[in-house]
Amino acid sequence: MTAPAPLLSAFRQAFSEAWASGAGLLLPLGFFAGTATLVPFTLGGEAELLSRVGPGILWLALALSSMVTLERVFQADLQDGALDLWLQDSGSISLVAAIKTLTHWLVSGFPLVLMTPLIGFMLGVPTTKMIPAMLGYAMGGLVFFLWGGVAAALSASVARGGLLIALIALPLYVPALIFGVQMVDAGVDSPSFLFLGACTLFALGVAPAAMGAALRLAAE
Amino acid sequence: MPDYGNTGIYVWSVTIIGLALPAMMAGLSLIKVHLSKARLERLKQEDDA
Amino acid sequence: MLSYLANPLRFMRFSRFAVPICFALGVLMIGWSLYNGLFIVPPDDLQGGDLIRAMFTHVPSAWLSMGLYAALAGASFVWYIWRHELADVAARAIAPIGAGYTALCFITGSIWGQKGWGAGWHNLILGDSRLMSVLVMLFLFLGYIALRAALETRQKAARAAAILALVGIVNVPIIKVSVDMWQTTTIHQESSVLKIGGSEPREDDEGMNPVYLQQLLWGFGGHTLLASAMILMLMRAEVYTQQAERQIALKLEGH
Repeated sequence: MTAPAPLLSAFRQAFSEAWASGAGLLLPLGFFAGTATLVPFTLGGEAELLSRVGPGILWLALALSSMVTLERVFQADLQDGALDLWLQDSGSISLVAAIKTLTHWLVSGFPLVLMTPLIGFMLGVPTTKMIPAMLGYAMGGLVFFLWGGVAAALSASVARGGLLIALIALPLYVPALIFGVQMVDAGVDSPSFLFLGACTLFALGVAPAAMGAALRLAAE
Repeated sequence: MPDYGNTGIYVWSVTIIGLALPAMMAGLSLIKVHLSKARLERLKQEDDA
Repeated sequence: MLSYLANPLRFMRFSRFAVPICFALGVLMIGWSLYNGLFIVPPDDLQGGDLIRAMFTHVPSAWLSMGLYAALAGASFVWYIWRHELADVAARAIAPIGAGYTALCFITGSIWGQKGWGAGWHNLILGDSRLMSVLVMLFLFLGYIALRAALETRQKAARAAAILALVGIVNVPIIKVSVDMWQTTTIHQESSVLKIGGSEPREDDEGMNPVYLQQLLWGFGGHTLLASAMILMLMRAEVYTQQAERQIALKLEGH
């Protein structure tokens, strides 16, 4: 394995890219907050309905927000040649892809997790369920960004690939979505939480390899 | 024709769709093969001409 | 046999007689299963009387849709590892047929359930886990087809789509588990086919009356042969198209 330098540089680059453009953080955040804010208006202010539906809406907003910035994640690297550099320098493109995805999640996904108590409170999620919910969102968000990353890598050479990415990613999001929503109610001791953890580990194992293969393909 | 009572329409619509959709797929596949074969023949003829 | 067929010439010769045979046999078997299923077999008084006859169309399509996705993943795997061109041609052909049968399964399932469970359309589609997983499977096929169409060169499209199919197939068990867990009190019938019972009709969770099972298997076999005929036809079309493109390329080079 070559030195960590290329990986660190990939991390630094991805991070600064995301923060600098602002879109990496603000767009998903805005989308998430906007969705969550509008929901009480669409469903009516009935507290009981909101608290039943609240977790589901939050998860939905998380899933959709993750798709918002996916299109650009790899396309920019493909276009400006960074991808070719990575393929030449570093030992493993899959690792680079994983780092990029984790960075993307840190910048675009993790803030959403931090926001969930606030929005959860607005949507009537009971406070006792908040911490396990945040843990679940952190894991689920990671799964979304990992599989979404696979879809983005596969579509990297397609202009305006947003819809394609969503179509590809949709089935892959379903398990985390289901387990995640169930887990908010059921808490950390439930089988849903274990399954969510299993999904996360599975995605961490498989997705980077798929992303690497797809990126290698896109660069040719 | 047996009498299925009020479930009849459901059974028949399911069955008919179950025949129509595959028939449509088969028809489209058949058309596709013939068109591509015809195109190949045409190109070969132009070549020989 | 597969490596024998990997040669395009041999494949074309094989499929030339395989297609009509599969087609004819398939149609016959489907006809036989429907004839028996619709007219001969007695209605099941435990589960909605004559309505169960809808299963002779719906269940084979359900099995076939899953089988075809597995076939898609298998062809993608073979192509990815050994790079047999024909494996990619096969994958390309399987996708639309698989999508069609999955759609058929979803549509027939919705119609059947509409009556059988007395649910309104919305409750029905959203309230049953098995139908929902069929819908997800449809998206898996559609995503595959869309990805192939979106990429420019055939090589790229083939490789990307193969990755997608393999990612899809490893996710399918997880999706199935999650959708099953999503609806713990499903109104869909418990899986009764794998437990084969005696000659008397039994309770739904103890196995299916072999009288029904027999026709189901005829129907499944028939539709499988029919689907195979269609897939072989699409593969032939693809081979012709590739040959035509080669002709054009030769012409442009000035032969």
